[in-house]
Amino acid sequence: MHEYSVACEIAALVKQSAQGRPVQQITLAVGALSGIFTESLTMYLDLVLPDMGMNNVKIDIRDVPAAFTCACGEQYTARTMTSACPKCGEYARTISAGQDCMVESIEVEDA
Amino acid sequence: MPEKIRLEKSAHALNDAVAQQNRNLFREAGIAVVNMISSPGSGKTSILEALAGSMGRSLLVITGDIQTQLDKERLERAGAQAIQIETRGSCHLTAHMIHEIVKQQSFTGVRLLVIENVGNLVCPSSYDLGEDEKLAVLSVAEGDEKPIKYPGLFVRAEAVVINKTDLLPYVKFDIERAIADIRKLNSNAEIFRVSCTTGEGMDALAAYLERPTSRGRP
Repeated sequence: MHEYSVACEIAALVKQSAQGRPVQQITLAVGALSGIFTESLTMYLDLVLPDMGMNNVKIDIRDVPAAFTCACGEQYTARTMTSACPKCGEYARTISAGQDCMVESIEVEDA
Repeated sequence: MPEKIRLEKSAHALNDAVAQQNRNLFREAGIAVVNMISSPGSGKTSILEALAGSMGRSLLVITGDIQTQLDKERLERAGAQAIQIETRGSCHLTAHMIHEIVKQQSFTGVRLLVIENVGNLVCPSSYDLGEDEKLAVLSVAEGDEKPIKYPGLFVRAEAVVINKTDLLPYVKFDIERAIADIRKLNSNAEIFRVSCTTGEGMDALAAYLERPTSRGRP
């Protein structure tokens, strides 16, 4: 459900960045731990973008896996936030990738 | 020929820019700011009522709900200053909503601002409001699996309150399991066991929230 809010934020950011030029494509990078369901995000973008004057925009979504750095120095990827370090078995780690939803780039028509 | 513009910006970039404006404003005012997040009914307002007992009007609460002024009225009766945001449907507060209030708010006499978010364990944790820290609240009536089911909040929270501990004899809530799961998600979080009914743990939580060490704090 909160993908609707995220879609509205992305549309506003894209509109501002395009500075009036027609937008043809939006490339997103969605992290595995971002809590965003990509099918739902695409559906809402298809609804929200035309409302903001952006029609026929291609949405390209790249999935970003979750990556962790353990206190022991080990770097590893995992599906969930509750995954122990495969080397030392501890949970003392920081999340190094996969929490964000990024707008990587947009393609606009020439002015 | 289409032109490619590299943005590399968070989907929340517009929110985050306003959150930074809020943060600058809070630092200028010299107040500490906590973003309090939990599911509905975990006892956020009850905790703040208890805090208001010792802090009085030096506690300012901006409280968010879908509708009603009920929380503002409760907090004012308890002695705090309170401002209600009725989101009219939105399931989380945004930095813009907070900015509309704080840009014209006097912070004279205020030591701590608590932003009591809309009761929801999912999206509020994704929206920076300009706070120094996030405080997650979980009550034993909700079940001990909540941290592992809703990890996004517990990963990001600087502190976690386990509330309604007076109910432990009556509910199936394994508090050691809940704490172990919180630790798996977040090995640094401060954890407080609290009961607003008996007062257990409230002094420790109040001391933590009023501590003079954090960035915005005087």
